[in-house]
Amino acid sequence: MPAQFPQTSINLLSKLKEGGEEAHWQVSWKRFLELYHEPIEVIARSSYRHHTGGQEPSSGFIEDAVANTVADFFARSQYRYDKDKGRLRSYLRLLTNARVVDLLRKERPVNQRPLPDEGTMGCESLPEESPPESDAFHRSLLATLVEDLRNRIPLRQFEIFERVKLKHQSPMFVAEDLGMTRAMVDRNIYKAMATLRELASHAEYQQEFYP
Amino acid sequence: MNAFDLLTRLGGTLNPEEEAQLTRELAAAYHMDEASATSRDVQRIAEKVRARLENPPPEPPPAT
Repeated sequence: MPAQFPQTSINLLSKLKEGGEEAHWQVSWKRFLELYHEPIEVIARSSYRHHTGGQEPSSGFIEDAVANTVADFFARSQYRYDKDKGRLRSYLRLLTNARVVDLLRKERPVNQRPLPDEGTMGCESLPEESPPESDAFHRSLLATLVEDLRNRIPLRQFEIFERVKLKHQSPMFVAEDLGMTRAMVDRNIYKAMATLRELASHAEYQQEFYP
Repeated sequence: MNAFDLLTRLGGTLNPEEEAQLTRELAAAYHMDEASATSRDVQRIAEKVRARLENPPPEPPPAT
């Protein structure tokens, strides 16, 4: 019954930012995890150090923090993302920090750690965004952009772009392999890059990219 | 200059150095995504997410 489905967004980032019921069926949590686990992990490490006076978390702690963040992001709970709550980037920081604080409370007695008040997700308890966090988020956004490109252009055009630009195969090799001229390969890459630029200029990406 | 600055630059003209930087950053993001799909670490986290989504903890009662 397609008429009952919510309207599909233009791109993956829009779908994620729609939140609510729409995100639940338009983007799988598994895909979100693959694309965004890296920045969430960096935020969780940074948050742990911030709340424990510089100690390093175990890998199990970080896995739990990432899993809880992703589950909350997609669960039918008070933590589900709503674009009215602000940028996806900022919300992920707040949510991850809150989950780290929750786990720390379970791990150690409160009187041993200077943690924020119960339920606090405010910016005052967040460490500053670090360069590694910023780099990880940028990589996730670029990977999202590449996925959007894959869904936007003809399959053959994406294949040429992927082989030359992302897998670093020589344009001449790709041309011979696909039985086309070098000029056709160049033209396909030019068109793919034009679409990539157009996607990157959308407000969803512009809002998220800059710290 | 980072990848998004380069991608959204008016006119879209890049010098060879900028072109190489953009390609490098796009390839790094692509390979991160490819590696995630088969990563055991990510699969382990995915199992934890699945368990939490299937058995969510009770939500706290609303504040009165």
